[in-house]
Amino acid sequence: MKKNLLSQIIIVVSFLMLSASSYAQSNTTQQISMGIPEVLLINAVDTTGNVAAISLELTTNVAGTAIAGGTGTSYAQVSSIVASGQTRSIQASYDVIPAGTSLDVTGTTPTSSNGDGTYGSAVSTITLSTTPQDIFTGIGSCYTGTSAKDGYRFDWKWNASTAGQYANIVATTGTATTVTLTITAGQ
Amino acid sequence: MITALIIFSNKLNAQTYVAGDSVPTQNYNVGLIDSNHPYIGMQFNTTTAGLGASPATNSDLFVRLSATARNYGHAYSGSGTISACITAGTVPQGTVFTLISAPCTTTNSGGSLGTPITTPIILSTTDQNIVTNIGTCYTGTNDTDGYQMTFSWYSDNYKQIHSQNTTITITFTITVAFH
Repeated sequence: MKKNLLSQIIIVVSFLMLSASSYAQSNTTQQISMGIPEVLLINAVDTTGNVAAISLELTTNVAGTAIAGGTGTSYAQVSSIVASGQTRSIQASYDVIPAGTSLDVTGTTPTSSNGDGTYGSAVSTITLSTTPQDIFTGIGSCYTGTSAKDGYRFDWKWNASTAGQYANIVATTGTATTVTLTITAGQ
Repeated sequence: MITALIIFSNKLNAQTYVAGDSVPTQNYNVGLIDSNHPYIGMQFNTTTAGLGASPATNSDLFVRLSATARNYGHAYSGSGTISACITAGTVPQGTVFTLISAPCTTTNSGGSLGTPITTPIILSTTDQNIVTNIGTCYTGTNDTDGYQMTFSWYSDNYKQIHSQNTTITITFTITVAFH
């Protein structure tokens, strides 16, 4: 009987020591709210990276030929974060251009290493009008960089309009035309 | 003898301590952990056309603890750890969420406070150590006592990012063990 009691005591003491000599563990938690808002920013710049007008001039110095040669380049620097499954477009339109002329644009997606993301693609050369038209489509989450020549490239071409309109052209020393670039909401 | 052991055990548990307190060395291990429980809201955003969303950081969280070890005659090497993992929610796709701990503040602390891991860990659902070699110690109980934690959030794949709001839960665990 005495031996049996001793055995029980040894077992209890061993259990307590085993419990005490293993490890202790406890924890605490912390919640963190993470937000990624939609981003929709566009900035038109010239080839030096500055916000400035570009100048296009139509002229000719060969007798018998139509005026031509109004070319120039600008960029649109963009930051975009879209909702899941959505893409955006960059559209362009003008307010007014001199009668008898037309303004075409050809887009090129960003190539600079200063940007990243889903740039989408350029549509073919567009003849602009007062109605916004897609120049780039399929734009996802991306940024283009902010240095000179970073961004979506726009090559402008101003020419005499289609046949039959030449008679409407008049000389002008400088007509300001505003082309509006719009990055659309995600769709 | 059995009665004496039970009374002894009850006496040990009669005193209540909070994480950060100095806990007297007794015949059992203690690992208490808590924090200042700040609100942490992080935004991944940009306000300049052409720039990517800036990495977000936050250092508002202080983790405090009390660790007491008893070795029953064996050498105690101070091998306690603080570990962390994500136990609820998911880090947004296309982004990485990291954590690094500063050494414990010294104002109200004492003991073997351990050593933070020097490279930030990428938080995941797997527990990873952020402080190791913790021995018997306490950090203090004020809001800015303890181990200051810095969270960093950045993109590793911009194409995969999309707008969203989400909440994740990080669980910090202290483990005090003997060798």
